[in-house]
Formats: sequence, structure tokens, C-alpha cells
Amino acid sequence: MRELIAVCERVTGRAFDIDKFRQVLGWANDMSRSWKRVLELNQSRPAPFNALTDGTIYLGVANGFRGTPEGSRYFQDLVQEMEFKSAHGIGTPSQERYRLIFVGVPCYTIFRRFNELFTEWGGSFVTSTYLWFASGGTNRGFEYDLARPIESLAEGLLISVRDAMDSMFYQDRALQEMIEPYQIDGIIYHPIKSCRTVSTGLADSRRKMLKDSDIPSLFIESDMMDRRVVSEAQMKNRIDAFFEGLAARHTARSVA
Amino acid sequence: MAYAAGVDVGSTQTKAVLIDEHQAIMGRALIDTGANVVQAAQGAFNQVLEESGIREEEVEYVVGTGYGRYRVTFGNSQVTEISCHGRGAVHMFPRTRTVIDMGGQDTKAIRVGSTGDIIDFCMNDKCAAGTGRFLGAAAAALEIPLAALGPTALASKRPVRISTTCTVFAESEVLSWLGKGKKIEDILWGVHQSIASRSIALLRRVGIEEEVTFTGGVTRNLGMIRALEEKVGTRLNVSDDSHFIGAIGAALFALDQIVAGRVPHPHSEVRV
Repeated sequence: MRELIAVCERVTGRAFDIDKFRQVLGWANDMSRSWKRVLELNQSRPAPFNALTDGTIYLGVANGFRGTPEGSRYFQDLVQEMEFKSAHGIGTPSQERYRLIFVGVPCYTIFRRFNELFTEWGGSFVTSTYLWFASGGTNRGFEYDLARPIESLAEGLLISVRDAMDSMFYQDRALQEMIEPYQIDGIIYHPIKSCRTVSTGLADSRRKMLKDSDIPSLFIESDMMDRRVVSEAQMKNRIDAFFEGLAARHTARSVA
Repeated sequence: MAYAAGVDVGSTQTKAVLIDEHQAIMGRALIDTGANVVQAAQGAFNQVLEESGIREEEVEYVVGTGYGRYRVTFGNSQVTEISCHGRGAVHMFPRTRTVIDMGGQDTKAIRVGSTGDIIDFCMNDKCAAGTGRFLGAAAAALEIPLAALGPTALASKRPVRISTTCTVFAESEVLSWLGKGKKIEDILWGVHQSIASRSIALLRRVGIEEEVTFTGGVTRNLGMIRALEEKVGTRLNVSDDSHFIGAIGAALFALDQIVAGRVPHPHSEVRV
């Protein structure tokens, strides 16, 4: 880390400012702490936000405004808003019937429609691995020690990035831990063609989850950017069948 | 007496089934889907009414299924063919736990519970090589009617190995084997084995649990039944009504809606 600082000083011709650095880390701490809290608040029923749509917007702010006063203020406001919604039983605009986990990267080519294919059935995404790995693992809420900022940055990178990697490659453990607190009814795996890094191994991960738990899951493939491999009709057929199965399962449970 | 109907609008053929309150089949209809899906659905429905001698106003509920289910304009609701094949298969063969549905353009492997509830499913989505379409391409190349495919293939003594997994290229591969002097029955049996291999891969993804029931239009092909049984290693449940199992499942969902107020069924919540 100290070698990197020296290189950056040489390249930019600007001296490293430890006080400003400490201030930036402080704002980043506010954001990580708040992000962790926001994600936890979606354990409420109904969930205050949709992890696929709203969550992706929060993710944009988390990455675009990291370590800034604007980002810090945004996330502290967001915590307040979500705490209010949670305390007053306010959910998303769509009815929440089934609570789902989203695994993978959103289908950006038909972003709104993709979500509607689920909300039309009362499916609500309450958490998402995307919000974990694409935030660089800040969902973990690691806070830098401002008394020793450089050492702490090194620790934070190791811990948070390690967590982000695990969210991509070993997410089954994390998913298992989500099932009870988030009252999960189903898991949606969405591997995509344009990012094999996050998609490789999802089929095996799903198979393991099916073996280790009785939570139904759906595996649908499309893409985040290439419309040629996004077939809404085929996706809809599978999504409809998945919810038909969930509905039958819920009715059978309530009859029993 | 109340009647319920299921109309299964498939990519190649449209099937309609009418059942009474006791789940007895009152009539069946089968027509080519063609380009006008709305007309096909109405045509099959009209035909089943005529065959059963039941008036349209006596049919209290109609469920549409298949890829054209939203074009069953007179239907009351829609259920996917995945749920309908699962439900229909368990109704016909109650010990069914795995369903292989082979239709004109897709093949599905479905794991079901004891009530026909869907545990898991898997289907082709990018390629039609393991479907009835593959057989159609081979039949066209060999100038053999579809009905003769199975019996001809079963006469094979030395099957060839069909290497292509693409429906578009199936024709050229078949022609190349003909050019090498291979017998038609040996080429055809190779085609059947190739499709069976693709289907087994789907079945393995959901897990094969006995009993296995074979549904869809390709069940009328004896060669395909034999090829699948060899690959699965067990006897498949097949009946004369296997082609109609999707429509039967749809009719059962329709009946659920009729009797919902009297006897709640585990499936009664499915898409109303």
C-alpha cells in the first residue's frame, strides 16, 4: 500500500494527504455501515425495497459516490427511509406474495419487463447476490480504522473483496444463511452470456442448494446486454411454470 | 353435470379434451396448429364438442395451455404446459415421478410430486435437436411419412451413429449416410438414438426417478419409445392418450376451478 502511494505521488505529481484520505474513508464507512443496514431491513415483511430494481439503483450510488459526502448523506437518508417503511409495514408498490432471492446479474436489456414477469405473480426480490459482489463486498459493512487508515484500507480490501468473490463463487453458503431471516420462498438463478465470471458454476451451485434445502429454484439464462440471447417468451414460460409450482406448494401446505 | 375443457395449443398440433365432473374423458380433438393459432384453438374446441355431443354452454371452465395458451380467446385462464403435463401424467399414471414430454419443437424433463406438483423442470431453449422437429427433418430427407418412422427404424440391424446435434444439419447428415449406401432403417434408428441421448441429458438434469411417463406427440412413435427405454433403462408409461396429456392436465385444472368451492385441491390456486 505504501509503495502504491509513492508510485501515485510520482505519477500525479501531487503529495499524499493523510487527512483527506482519512476523511474519504470516513464517508466510505458511513456508506458501508448504511448499506449493510439497508440490506438487513429487507428482512421485514413486506420488504421495503425490491432488491432487483431499487437495489440496483442504490448500487449505482454506492459505486459512483463511494467515499464522498454526497454518497454518505444519500445512504444515511436511505437508512432512515427504509427504517420508516419497515416500522410502518410499507413495502414496494407491487403485492408481495412470494419472497425471492436473485442470484446473478440483472437482465438490463429488458430491465423493467424482466422484473414484471415476477411481480405479476406476486414475486418480490428481497435480496440479491448482485448487491453483494457488485458493491465490492461492502454489504459486509467493514469499517476502516481511521486511527491507522493505511493498514486498515489494506485489511478492508482483503476482507471485502474476498467477500465479493465468495458471493460469486461460493454463494450457496450465504444463500443458506438468508433463507430463514429473509423468509425465502424461492431462488432465481440468472446466469448470463456476457459475464462468465459470475455465471460459471451457477448450475452446480443450484444443484447443491436443491440437495441441501427444500427451497424451489428456477434457472433461466439470458444476458445483461446482448438482446440476441434474450427471449422473453421462453423466459415467461419458465417463470410462469415456476410460480404455478410455488402456488401449488403453498396451497398444499395451507391445506395440510 | 358440469364439464371442463383443456385446450393445448402446441407448436405443431392443437389438442382439446373435455372431461366431466368425475374426471372421465368425454372427448378428444386433434388438429394441425398452422399459422392461425386463434383459429386452431377454436377449431379443436369445436371438434371436441362435436365428438362428445356436449353443448358449449355446458362447459363451465376452459383452461388454455401450450405455447399458444394466451390465444385461446374463449378460455377462462391459462396454465403452462409444464404444469399441465405434470398434472396429466400423474392423473394417468399415479406413480409417475418423472415426465419426459417430447413435442414438435421442444422437449421437457419434469420431476413431479405425488399430486403432479412440479418439483423441477428443464427444457431445451436454444436448439431443437432433441425434439420432434429433428425427426421431421430426417423424415423429410428420407421421404418417409411420419407414421412410418418408428416401425421402419425398429427394423434396423446395424444403426449408424448420427453425430450432428443440429436439426438444420440433420438433413445433410442423413443424406451423407444415404450416399454411403447405408440402409434407411439403420439411419433412422441412429436418428432415434441421437434424440434419445439428448433427452436423457435433460432428464439427468432434473434427476430420473421412477416411474417415468412419456408424453407429447412423439409418443405415437414406437421407435422413440424403444430408444428412450433403452437409454433410461426402464419401461416408460405410455398410453393411447399420451399425446393428449397436456390437454388432460389443463382440463383437470379447469375442473379444479369448477369444484373449488366444494373441495379445495392443492392446485386450485394455479393461475386463475
